[in-house]
Amino acid sequence: MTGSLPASAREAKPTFFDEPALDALVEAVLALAEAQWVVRHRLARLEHWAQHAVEAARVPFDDAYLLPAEAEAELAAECRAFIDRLLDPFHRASSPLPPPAPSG
Amino acid sequence: MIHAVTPALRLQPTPDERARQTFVSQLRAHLLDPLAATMKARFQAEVAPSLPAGAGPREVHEAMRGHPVFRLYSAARVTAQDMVWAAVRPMVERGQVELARRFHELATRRPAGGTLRLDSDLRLPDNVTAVDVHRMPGNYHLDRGADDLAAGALYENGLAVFAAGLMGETLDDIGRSVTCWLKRRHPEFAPAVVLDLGCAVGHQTLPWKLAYPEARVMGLDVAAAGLRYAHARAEAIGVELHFLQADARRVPLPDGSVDLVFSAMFLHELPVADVRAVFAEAFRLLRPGGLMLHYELPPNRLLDAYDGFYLDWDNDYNSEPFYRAYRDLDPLAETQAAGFAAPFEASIPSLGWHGEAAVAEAARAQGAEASDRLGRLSQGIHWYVFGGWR
Ligand SMILES: C[S@@+](CC[C@H](N)C(=O)[O-])C[C@H]1O[C@@H](n2cnc3c(N)ncnc32)[C@H](O)[C@@H]1O
Repeated sequence: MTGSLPASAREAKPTFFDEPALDALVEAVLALAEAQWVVRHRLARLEHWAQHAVEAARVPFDDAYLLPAEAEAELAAECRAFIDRLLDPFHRASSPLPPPAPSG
Repeated sequence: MIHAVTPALRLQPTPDERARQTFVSQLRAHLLDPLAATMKARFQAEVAPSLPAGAGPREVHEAMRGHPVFRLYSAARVTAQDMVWAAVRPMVERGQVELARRFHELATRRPAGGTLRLDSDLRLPDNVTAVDVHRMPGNYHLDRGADDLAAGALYENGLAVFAAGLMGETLDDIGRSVTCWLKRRHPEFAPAVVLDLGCAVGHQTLPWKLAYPEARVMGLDVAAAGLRYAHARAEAIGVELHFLQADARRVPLPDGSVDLVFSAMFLHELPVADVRAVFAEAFRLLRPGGLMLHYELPPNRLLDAYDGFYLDWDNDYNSEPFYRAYRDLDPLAETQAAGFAAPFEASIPSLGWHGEAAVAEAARAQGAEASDRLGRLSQGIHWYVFGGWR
């Protein structure tokens, strides 16, 4: 029970754009956003820990490194707002132009 | 907000992993609610006017393929699906030795008195071996021998991220809502033996024992690691359940030995011939007066063309190859054809979202409502059930 688990599904990843680079780009943007969020959360933990470290010289790192529930809830709301902003252009993507009206 | 996983089997994410899981959950929540709503509004404004009258889900799909919002939504949803599994896999890998230990301890001690019967000679059905359903790496049946729980842990932890809170705190809102509904709809019905087909890790099996404490409640699945997880989970929670590794088309139980055959999110993962074989098997297993009851995706008849297209998305893009053919069936006609009497269907408001009074009111209603909240995983969901009497 120590072996690694399969890392991805057997099926190829479906694509949606005529230009395959765009599928790759969506994947890259979301991976970047995920990483950005992890760093944002880590920063919040560090700030929280730093504040404790100043208040009391010796705080067990693990205790002060976890955020209290209230701060977690605030961050969850911030995460939601971040995703709203991230995906805003997806809502506004314009439709293909309608076919030209027959002339004459 | 997303860690609705059985406490005794909970794996410890690193703080970074926890942040990652929150992100993926929230990303899915955005895709399934606001972005899905935008896509529908854009369809209605920009695509529907040029569709021919009588267009069905397939025509909507064809017409939407080129729409930029459909493409962005779809590319993001597939990516988010892969991110779900990736966000929990390292934690499951790290925790698998500890999980095996906990399983071993619980399965030896059996504090709730439940059982687990595995069959290492079982031939796994093709619908399980041939695909990684909903792109879950390794699929349900991944099994590396005695005490391996990894596939069950991947499923439960992945589902907690995937569901984004929409399936209840403990991922069993379907089971809780359906049992609550049935007790009000048929207060005289008191099953002594309940069988949950395709039970996975037993999320919807457990509520049956809570609803009918006197009953012998069994869960059946083909996937061993999921059943080990289910057994450990039930024992840890302290509820007596009996799990069995078997194929739902050939259940090793005598004729007329069950009062209620139930399933949740199971039939749409089967080829049509297997759905029919499962109904025939349910008919054989049930005593006269027994009930067959399934929670499933709603049929096309109850949805407009767009909502049908929206549900069928998984068929084409989420490794759910039996979804569409299943949804094209009429569950009531199939139930009747299998010999059941008085086939019925109903929409049950999610207990977690709408509360007990709403479920009680639904128990007094006739038929299933036709609406876009039926079966669509999003805020305020209503669950679709159907069944018939033996
Ligand atoms: C989506 S899961 C069901 C989830 C579960 N009922 C719940 O509500 O939490 C589908 C399950 O069906 C099982 N399965 C697929 N084909 C089967 C068959 N022929 N007999 C028994 N189980 C089967 C799979 O192993 C998988 O665990």
